[in-house]
Amino acid sequence: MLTWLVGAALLLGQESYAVDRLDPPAGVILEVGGMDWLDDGRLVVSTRRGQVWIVEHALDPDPKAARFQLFCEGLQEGLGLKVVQGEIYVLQRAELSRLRDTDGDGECDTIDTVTNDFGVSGNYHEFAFGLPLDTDGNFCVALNLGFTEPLWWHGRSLAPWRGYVLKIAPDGTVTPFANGFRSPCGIGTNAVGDLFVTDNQGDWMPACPLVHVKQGGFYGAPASLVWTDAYQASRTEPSLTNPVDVPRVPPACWIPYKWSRSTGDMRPAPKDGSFGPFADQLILAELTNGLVLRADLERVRGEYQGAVFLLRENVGSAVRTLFAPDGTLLLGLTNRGWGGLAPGHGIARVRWNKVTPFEIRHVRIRQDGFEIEFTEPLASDPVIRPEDVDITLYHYDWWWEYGSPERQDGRRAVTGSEISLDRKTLTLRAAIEAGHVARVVLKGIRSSDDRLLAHDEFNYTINQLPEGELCTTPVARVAAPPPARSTQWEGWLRLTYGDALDLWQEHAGWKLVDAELDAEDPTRLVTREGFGALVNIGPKPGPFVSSPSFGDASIHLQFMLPKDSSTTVLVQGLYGIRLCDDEYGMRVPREVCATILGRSDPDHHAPLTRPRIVPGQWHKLRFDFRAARFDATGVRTEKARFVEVRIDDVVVQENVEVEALESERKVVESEHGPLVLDGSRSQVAFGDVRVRPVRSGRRPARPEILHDDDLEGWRASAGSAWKREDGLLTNAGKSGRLVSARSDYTDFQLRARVKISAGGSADLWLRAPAAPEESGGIGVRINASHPDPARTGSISVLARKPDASLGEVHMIAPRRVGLVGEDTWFDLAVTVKSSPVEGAAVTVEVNGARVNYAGLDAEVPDHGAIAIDAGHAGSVLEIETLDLYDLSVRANDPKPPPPR
Amino acid sequence: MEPGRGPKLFLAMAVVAVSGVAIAFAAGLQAAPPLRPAVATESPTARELYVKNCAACHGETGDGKGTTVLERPARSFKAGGFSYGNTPDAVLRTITHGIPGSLMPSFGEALAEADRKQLAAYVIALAPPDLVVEAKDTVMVVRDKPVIARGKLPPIGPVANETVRGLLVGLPSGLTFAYDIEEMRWLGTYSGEFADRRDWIGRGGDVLLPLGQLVRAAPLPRHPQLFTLRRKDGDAERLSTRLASTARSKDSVRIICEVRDSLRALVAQVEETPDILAGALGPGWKRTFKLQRRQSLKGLQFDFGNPAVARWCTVDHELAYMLTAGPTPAALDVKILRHPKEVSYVPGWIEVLADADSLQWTLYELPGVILPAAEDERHLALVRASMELR
Repeated sequence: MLTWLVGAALLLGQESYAVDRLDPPAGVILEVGGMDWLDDGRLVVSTRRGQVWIVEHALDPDPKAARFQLFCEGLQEGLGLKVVQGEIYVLQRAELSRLRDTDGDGECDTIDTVTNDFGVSGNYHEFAFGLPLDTDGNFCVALNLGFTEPLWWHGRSLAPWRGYVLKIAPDGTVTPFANGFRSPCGIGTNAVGDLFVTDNQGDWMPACPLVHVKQGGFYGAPASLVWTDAYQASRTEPSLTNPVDVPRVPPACWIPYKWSRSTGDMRPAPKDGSFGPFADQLILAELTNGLVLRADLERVRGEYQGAVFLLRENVGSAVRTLFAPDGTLLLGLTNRGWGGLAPGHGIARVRWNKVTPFEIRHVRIRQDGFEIEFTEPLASDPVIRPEDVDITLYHYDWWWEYGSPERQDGRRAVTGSEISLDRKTLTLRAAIEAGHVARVVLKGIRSSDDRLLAHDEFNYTINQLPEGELCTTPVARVAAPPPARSTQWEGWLRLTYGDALDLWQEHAGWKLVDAELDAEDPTRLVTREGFGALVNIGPKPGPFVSSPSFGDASIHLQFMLPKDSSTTVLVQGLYGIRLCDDEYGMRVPREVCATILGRSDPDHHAPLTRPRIVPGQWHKLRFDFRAARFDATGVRTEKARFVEVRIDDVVVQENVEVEALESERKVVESEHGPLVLDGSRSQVAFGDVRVRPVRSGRRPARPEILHDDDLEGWRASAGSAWKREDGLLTNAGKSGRLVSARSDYTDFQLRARVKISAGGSADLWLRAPAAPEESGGIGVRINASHPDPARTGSISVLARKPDASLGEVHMIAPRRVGLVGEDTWFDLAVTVKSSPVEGAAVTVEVNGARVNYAGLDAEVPDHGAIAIDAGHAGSVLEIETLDLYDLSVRANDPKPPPPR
Repeated sequence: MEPGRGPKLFLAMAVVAVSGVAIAFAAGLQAAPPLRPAVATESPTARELYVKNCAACHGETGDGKGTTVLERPARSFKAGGFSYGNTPDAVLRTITHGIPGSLMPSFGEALAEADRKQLAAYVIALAPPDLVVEAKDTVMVVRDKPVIARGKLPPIGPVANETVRGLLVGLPSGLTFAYDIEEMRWLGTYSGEFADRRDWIGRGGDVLLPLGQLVRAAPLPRHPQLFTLRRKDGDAERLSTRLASTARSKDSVRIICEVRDSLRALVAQVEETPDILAGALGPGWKRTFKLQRRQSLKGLQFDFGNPAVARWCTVDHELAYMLTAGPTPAALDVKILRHPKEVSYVPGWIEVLADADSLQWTLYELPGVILPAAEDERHLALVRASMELR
């Protein structure tokens, strides 16, 4: 009976630990930053909203019995809390404070500044994490780097001690202790008081590490080195892109990306075993995947290293840990701004059910393999076959890019195995090497009471083997810097960057908000003011339809769904991909996520492999689409095709031909169409929608009359510095105009390949005055990150008034969405055409898609020069090619074909 | 309230001459303090109160078109806009304390609380009902106790950059004092609602946004340090002022700082208490400084800043200095009303003369008030009377 119960309970390996949540007062959002106990057993909690709450009955079996009382508010965050000799200390963003209730009314009335002697520059990312004590009674604090535009992926240390771990004495004296940190969200001590920190994947952090912090240690992220004597003396900053030549302390344990993207803090599991058979091991909070990890470390060659395991999944976005005297693990939850498994706020309680789980308790390294100790004896005749054990080694690249993939170094075959007499320890022999992480998966291992392992995988960081020469190769290895970021998105258009609704012709019911899964009802999303997601909040959301139409194109977007919900991505409004979560996919098996829709059920095209779509988590969709082809009479010669579809970088569809779906909008199949996101089926959140049109290569029929070499006779305004350098035409950072030699251009298409610097802005002026010193004509803006909200593609007009004086610049068609980033090459095509019927009009295409159009009134001149205007000093505009095609109608021209 | 609006204001006030209406400003010393009914009759109705006290400026129907000619039109209640929110709390506060920097006077002394509450309900009822706005999730509200908030402040007044370590003190009267925690410099004073925590959105790190009207901003300081020490040899040593703690009781706030020399030795402890000032001369504020000696206080200099910082200064409760703008914006005319033994005014600074164990001075500011050119005993009597009123 017991076996059955235990077996049933352990089907998924989850139920050794039960999870419930405390119930804060209605409307209170508890974004936990710190927790500790008062001497009388009450819980104190600090939050990201600068509040401190005192909770009574936090451990009562009924979570609703907890009573919350607001003790303090008005703090600036509070990502660490410690009770020392009965006094409450909170680490705010810019101050370590002691909170006191001097008049005994239950509310804090005095906030003492223990110290504010650490730098803050005002950058939004400068969190201060805390708040353990070391064995000498000093507070330990870890400071986040800052992240600035435009190169937001490079962390920088903008004020003293950002990226450091500091020790703060009780009298407030601040002493820098170690550096090289990036986003050291978790800081705590192990059972013997050694200080540990978890950092977060990003630049110079291949994955999330768990590090033992030692005085004077450098932990890998170079920005904080700027405060060392060497860099201060030379008044330089460490390179953002090239590895610094400073010895690094290797992490005790690297946590695999699939388990953690944002690790929180850690506590040692209770010695008395009240939290299970893992006494003294470090229990870690994980925010994004919403789970609890366990790290079993040992000392090898004098330094910590060891294994990390999953312990309990589905706890919510956990960032802070605290054990209660009875062995309950409290988890402080928050994910605002980053997203993570719901719930994203509150306090979860994790309790061991007192039944020893069948788990790997310890892993000890040997010169020739691992000693694996289990919590229960193995089955009496366990045959450990080589194929039951999977050992692979991998390492990481230590570079400036955001994280690193695991660099696989191959399987290691098990050459021998032994089981101890008590059947609790399995020794595996394999050719392991230092300077790697070993991923070990044990399949089919059963306990003597016929249980399978609750968690069958560990990842052991091998910094050193027990004997032999010390290994000098780190797990995170120096690698050649990857190519600069700006080429990654070349040719793409960002359709929702900045002003997210600007380039969408239909968006009724859609709004830019922050969204997360509703903790009470996971079939719904909860939204708040913010900029993280486009959500069809209603009341009657219509389709989200892009303004530009696209033909052949690659499309990228991120999506997030609540439980049991679905949406459709309709390419050209006609060809559909189903996106849905796992729950929906189970209910409607013909429509799992990434199914390409046919007109009826039998025509649905199932994906090659089923993607795992977790409600409340963001996933990535990327696909390449080829439009249908038609002959000159309009008959279709080739069907439309999804060339490749990937979900989270995994190929799920390849070369699938599609028929157009029935369209409510009565659109017929053609070579182009808008991108449509369906908002009618369920709530859905979209983000980061990008398109890369595949250019057909067709150019206007007219021969070119201006080639990029023919800039002879172009004149520059006084004081400008226009020149050709390395084949590129550039203003060289100085303001000024460059005007074409001819000023009789009437109707034409101007095509240019251009790049604008961070914070820079420039305009192309068409039908401009001939003199370089004069302004006027039709302006097309090139602007990625200049503060002016009119971005690349905006159209303005500067006309002369009837009295021939210059009027004002009228921005007649602003384009506020940030289509192209700074320092990124893109193709710009501007067409100016007058027709007797419609008047003059200007069309702007970026990267092959039409993104703006404006009719021009009579004020606009009917001919003029081409002028390139670098508006202000500091902007750097580079032009690789500049071609002009004459579109003026001449008497002998053949008539254009009638429109389809 | 921009500086330089004074003369027009003076003219506007001179026109006020409605009997029984309580609009009390020092302009020309012509307006009398509000009258109370000599005999207690049955409690007046809300309407009667309104007509008597409010209609002259806000109009009989609450449309903002009163008979008084005002520099800036009075609020139209019918349009539903209230400077500081349309909750009964907020409107009661406005009626009680007035709006410093505007023409709305305080009625805290003139009208009983029950009457003021009636009025609050009455004017709210004048507004269209569907304009009641829910407080946003990120807005911090001051109710009956002061609120202290720490955060990054946006650019205030002439300060072009954000204040990365900032402090806001919000008082129930509707005044908010903003400080830069570096050197504990006063940045400005707001009137109205308290603050919006923009750093509760997204990843955080955004500003703590004062929501009130900026009544007065501190001018740019001439020196980074708030305190210096004039040594015997005449040289001035810059001291650093660090925040030690903030303390809040049910009706006041104390900001406690430590002033240290270059060797980090403690020179003095300074406690600042900002508060509203609402009296016969109209609403304003005061900042009281209490110094405790650690080392000798003698020679300690406190940066008064620029003329706009304060109008009067009392030392140990006695009126000592009166400051007016001088012939140029940068100049400061100081009228020395008495020579305290303890401190002296030197241009831009208050300097401590005696080495007392403790010392106190108070800076007063009444932003809506015009100072007459000549010293006048009656005026001074009014000023003294104002100082004692909360």
